[in-house]
Amino acid sequence: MADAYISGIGFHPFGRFPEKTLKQIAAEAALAALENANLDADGIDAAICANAYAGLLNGQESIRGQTWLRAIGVGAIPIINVENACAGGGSALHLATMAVRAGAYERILVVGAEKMFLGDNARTLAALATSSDIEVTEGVGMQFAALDAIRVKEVMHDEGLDEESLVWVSAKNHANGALNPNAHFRKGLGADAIRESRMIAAPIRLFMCSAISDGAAALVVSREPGRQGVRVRASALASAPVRARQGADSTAVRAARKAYDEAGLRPTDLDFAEVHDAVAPLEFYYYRALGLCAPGSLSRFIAERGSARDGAFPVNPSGGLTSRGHPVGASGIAQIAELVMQIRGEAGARQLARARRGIALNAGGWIGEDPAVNAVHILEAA
Amino acid sequence: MTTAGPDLRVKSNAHVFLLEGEGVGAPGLRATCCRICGAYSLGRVMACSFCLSRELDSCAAGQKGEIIEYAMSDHPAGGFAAPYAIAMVRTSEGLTLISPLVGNPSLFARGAPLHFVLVDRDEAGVTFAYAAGDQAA
Repeated sequence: MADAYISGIGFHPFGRFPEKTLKQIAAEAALAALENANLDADGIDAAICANAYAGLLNGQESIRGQTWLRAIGVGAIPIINVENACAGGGSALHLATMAVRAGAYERILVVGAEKMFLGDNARTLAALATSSDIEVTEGVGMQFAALDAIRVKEVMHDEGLDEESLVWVSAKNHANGALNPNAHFRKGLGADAIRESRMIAAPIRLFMCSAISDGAAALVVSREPGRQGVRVRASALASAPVRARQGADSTAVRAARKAYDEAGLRPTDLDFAEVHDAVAPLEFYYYRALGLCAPGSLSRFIAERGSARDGAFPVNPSGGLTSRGHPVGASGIAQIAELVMQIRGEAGARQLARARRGIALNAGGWIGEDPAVNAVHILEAA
Repeated sequence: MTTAGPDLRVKSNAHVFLLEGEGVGAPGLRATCCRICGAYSLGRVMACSFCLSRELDSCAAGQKGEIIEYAMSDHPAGGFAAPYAIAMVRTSEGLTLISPLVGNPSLFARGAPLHFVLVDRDEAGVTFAYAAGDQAA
């Protein structure tokens, strides 16, 4: 089986762009990725496009990717649309990686985009809530912030963490995001501002949460490394287990295990990570799932600032979803783009000292007791 | 002597819970019981979550449970006015679900016993929730 490389990356900044359509936002990122890979619209032989809510929020169903890419002159080639909630981006990359490795395509454009800011937060939050099993969650006050609060409280209880650890990790991500020109929030909110922000669902406060954002990110996945290619060392996907029969390992643990097994690597072989901090303290959940620290040692890892940019194992140097923002279909692609920038040495002021090999975990939806989907990728210098 | 008829109230969720008269053992959570292994699965399933058998019966479940963990939401959602409590609940049959909590918040805690209740929510119809304690007063 051949290798797959990321030979191009592109962004439309994350933020609020009421004057732009989803098509414009997606197309800008797609053009940037093609340019970064030194390609034009005829240089790809397939495209895979990730989006979650364009139907509910923007009225565009079904052929979203085709509409985006027509705006940049792309047609005729296979264009596949992927919906996997917030893990749509990681899922799209998984499909592209498999297809390139199998030799089915030479170069695949992967685009993730979302336009979520409508000036009606209740409508956007209602759309987000549909990324759960609505037969079970409709009419029960389901909201992801409250669910995330429950998950964070579980980790706090298991690991003996206090609320200051939540403040610290949120401030870390905001400080990193302040150095990211594509981030939604670049003010570098400090601990005091986070601590004093209003409660959303205790212990989660407003400035610990990712925002409703517009934005897009894109990649070119290719058989050849190209000018500055980064190799996809592992690409793994898992769904929420039917715990009754399949055991208690979470979606994240399963996806991470598959990725490590595929790559023949262990956590100690990696240098940094981008994880799905829909609320910043959820990072702690993923430190354990990815094996960055053993159960029971999380408080020491946090006390030692292990996941800071200058720590033993930096996590979310981009600012994470907390600061970069969370246009749902784009977030997983943006994580990969950050890995690529770090590995290439192109991350500017937030460049890590050691970034030869990184891991990204993209989570989406909820079903049963787990996120419905986790996509885990390991990337390394080619 | 009058006989109680079926509960004709409009439900906020058509799938996850049963009103009196809608199934054996109702009101309670809608569940599927396996005739082969005896296990319960939440909602309508086509194969047992434990043994994959297709020999299934619809049933009501979840009259009792406990809090796995909960959160107090200060943000309204889904027709629920803030503040309100929402929890991961494990029922006595081993079912796990997200549910609103009602009653005295000082009684909400990890492992606290719960019992199933129906809650009238005016225009939103009737919904289910869990209340602290082993049984209704």
